[in-house]
Amino acid sequence: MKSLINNLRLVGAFFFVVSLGYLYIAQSIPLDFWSEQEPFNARSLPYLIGTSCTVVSILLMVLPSPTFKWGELRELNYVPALLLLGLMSGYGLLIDVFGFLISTTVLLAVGFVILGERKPLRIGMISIGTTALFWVVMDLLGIYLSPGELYLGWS
Amino acid sequence: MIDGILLGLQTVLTLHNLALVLAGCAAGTFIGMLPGLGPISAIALMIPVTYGFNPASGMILLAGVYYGAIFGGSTSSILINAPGVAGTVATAFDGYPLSQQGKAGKALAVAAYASFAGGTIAAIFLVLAAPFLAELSLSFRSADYFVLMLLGLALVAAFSNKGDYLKAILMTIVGLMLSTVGTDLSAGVQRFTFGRMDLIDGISFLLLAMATFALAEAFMMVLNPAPTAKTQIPAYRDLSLSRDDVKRIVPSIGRSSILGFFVGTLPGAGATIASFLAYGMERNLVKPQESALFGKGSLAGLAAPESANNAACTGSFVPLLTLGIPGSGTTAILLGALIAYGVQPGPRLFIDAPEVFWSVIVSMYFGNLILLVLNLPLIPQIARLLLLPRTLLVPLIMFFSIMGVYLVSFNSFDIQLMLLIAVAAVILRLFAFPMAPLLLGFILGGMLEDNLRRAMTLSDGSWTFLWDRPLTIGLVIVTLLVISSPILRVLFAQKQLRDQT
Repeated sequence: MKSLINNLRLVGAFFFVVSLGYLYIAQSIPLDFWSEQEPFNARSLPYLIGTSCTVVSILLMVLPSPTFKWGELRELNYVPALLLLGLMSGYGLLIDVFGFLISTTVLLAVGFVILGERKPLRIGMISIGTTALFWVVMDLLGIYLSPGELYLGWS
Repeated sequence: MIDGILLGLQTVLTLHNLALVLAGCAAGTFIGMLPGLGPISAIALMIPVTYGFNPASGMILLAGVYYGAIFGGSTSSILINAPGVAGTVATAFDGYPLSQQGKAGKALAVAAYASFAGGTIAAIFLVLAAPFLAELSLSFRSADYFVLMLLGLALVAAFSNKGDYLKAILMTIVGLMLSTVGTDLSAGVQRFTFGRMDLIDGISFLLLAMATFALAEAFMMVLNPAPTAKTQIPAYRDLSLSRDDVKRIVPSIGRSSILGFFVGTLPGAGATIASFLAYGMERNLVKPQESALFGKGSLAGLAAPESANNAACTGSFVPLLTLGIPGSGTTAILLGALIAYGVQPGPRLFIDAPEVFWSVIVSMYFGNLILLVLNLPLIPQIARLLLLPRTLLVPLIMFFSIMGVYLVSFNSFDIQLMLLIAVAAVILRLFAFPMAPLLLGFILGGMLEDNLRRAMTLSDGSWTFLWDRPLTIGLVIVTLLVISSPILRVLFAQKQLRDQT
């Protein structure tokens, strides 16, 4: 039997919920007395956009649409992508603590390893080289990259 | 006009700016060559570099990146049948067979000459049309701008692939939604910030462009790696063309350049549609013996899409420079850059910042010249970078994307927000939803609201401003036609079917 759930209906359903949430929050955008009397205020465009989004997402759900090949999604390399996502998120959390030099060298080196690079010399040279070169260029441009709270706390 | 060209020449012809065009072309060529990374990613990655420059220099560099990216896409289309950019897919139809026949040098030369000619013809059209259109657009009022922006957004959806219309509309609306995050400047109230200080200034366009394009592309490379067979770059030395070759390509270049320019000026159309249209047109117009070669290594079949895509790139600057309305994802990001430099785009750009207006036009021409004179001989060296393994390339793209955003705000919250948006973009891409309309909706959102507010306030809250003036009515009618075009198309097809039976 043809599956009723396809890419369009799934995304349509998601944005239907998002648009309702968006409209709900739009109602609570604070307005002073004068703004409320104005023909166009801070809530006006969000109402228009939210309503349009609701209509289009309903259309996506109800209009006939082709079946989606779910099989193709099963063959993707999720593990390295998720590891890289975690790595970058960790970089965002730790750059202020460990500073640019250490965090970036680790980000690049671990990134290369996640994607299958196994030559230690190549990993070391490119991660350290890129980080150092980037730091020097930023220094020349007068952009300060912090050595991190940890280092600043020690010194 | 002559004064303007001289002003543009004066701005561009400094050692600093010429070096920027050269650097932009080289960087753009390299990034554009990488399959998946198109001009939007290339420009997004280069914008942080330009923050220290004056607006004219910044735009000069970015225009170079734009051309370089398109040319880089052509190079990988010809050499390894892997178009880096959608606008150069048609280039591979005849470019790759030529390369397989041992004529890679000739194919690259035709691509470069055709691009140069396309860019030159389109630049002449732009010089003639832009000031005229800019002056004309001074008579536009808020209501006209509002409708014009709606038209631009609708055209992007209307030009999307068959069946993608609703998807493109939804993505445009999501872009508009994201543009409302932050402080509403007219009332000074926070909207959709969830009480977070980090969101008070809204989402930066660079963060959104980087997340939905450069970073999302890097994730797509990891999720869906290309076949691991070692890419072979064909060797070539001879870049010369015979007199017969030139005779075969000149008429195609002329026609395709003009077609490309006009298609490029239409919001939403752009280089991809221009190149396919030119390829189709030339197949019907050339001599039968040349037409039979199309798809098997025709020089005219290569010259047509190449001149059209470059001419369309130049054409797409017309609505950007004259109306301040971008017609494509790429010009949308250029508009975002202009706003970030503190330049107010729109018809007054021509009057308020003539040096930016004219230097962009002149630098486009220099960009073409540099691509021809310097890039073509350097292609074998640049193409070697294609062999850089993805194990190294992807983390580097990710690092540069993160740094591009982090260096602007020094706020690590932006990194997390960028990752969140990139994940959403990857999921939407896997579900075949386009990202360019989202970027366009986001960038136009603020201007759309300003103009609608002004028009509504002037008409005292009534929608009558939509039919008060003939110009506005005309624009409304065209917009309604564009929005309803998919329905009309279905009705027309059904009628044809009924007539046949």
